[in-house]
Amino acid sequence: MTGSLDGEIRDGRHQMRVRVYFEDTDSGQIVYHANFLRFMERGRTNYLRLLGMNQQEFLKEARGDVPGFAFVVRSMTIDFLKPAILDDLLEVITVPEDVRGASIMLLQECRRGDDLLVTARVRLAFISGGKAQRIPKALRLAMEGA
Amino acid sequence: MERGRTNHLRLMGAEQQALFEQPETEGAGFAFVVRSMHLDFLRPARMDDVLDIVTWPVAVKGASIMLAQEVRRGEDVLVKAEVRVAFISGGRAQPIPKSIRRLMKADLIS
Repeated sequence: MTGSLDGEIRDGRHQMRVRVYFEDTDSGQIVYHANFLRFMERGRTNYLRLLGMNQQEFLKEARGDVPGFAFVVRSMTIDFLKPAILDDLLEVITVPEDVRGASIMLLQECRRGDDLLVTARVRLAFISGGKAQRIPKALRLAMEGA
Repeated sequence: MERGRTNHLRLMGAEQQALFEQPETEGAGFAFVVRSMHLDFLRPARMDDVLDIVTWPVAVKGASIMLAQEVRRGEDVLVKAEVRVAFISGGRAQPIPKSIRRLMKADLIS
């Protein structure tokens, strides 16, 4: 069990904490903007993980129907509102906004306490066998009901 | 695409170091910051691909510049982006220096 390392899902929202290290900052001594994309990737990955992506039932269905699957980012809209600095403790929040047949829209935020630093809307597609496929029903239901 | 934006400024003669001589940049800590981005990931790239990063201004305002960018592999467009950039000096948002606005406006395609 990895416990709090992967964050938690509560009321359909995934939350995880990220600490800012020196390697995340740039010559202006703030978090270099592209690093927020890395933090949010971790949020999406752990959200899917906690929804049971690596549980047996999901894998069985997925591998049967769609061997060699992966999620890919199709588009992102990001607003960088306030900077983060060294040692900041950030909260990365991930919420499903729209779960359709072949793509998922996630809303994400990076917060520092009450301050909203970055917002993003990220569209994911589900690829298997090199082609876009429908999102597996088990995953869709998990997102809609989580 | 960050490299494309940086080199675009560099070749326009607005190397971020050279701005030290301008009055707007007196005092420490001036920099361009990305305010927002929209990205479309259309096709993948793979190891050994040679990519072209294309960057051009689409809007030049007082406080921000909007750049369009594309990542291409030959004729294929792999990624499209719109990036809004602002100018920070002394820890606060400032108007884009006139010299840079002038240079960018010259390249605007309207």
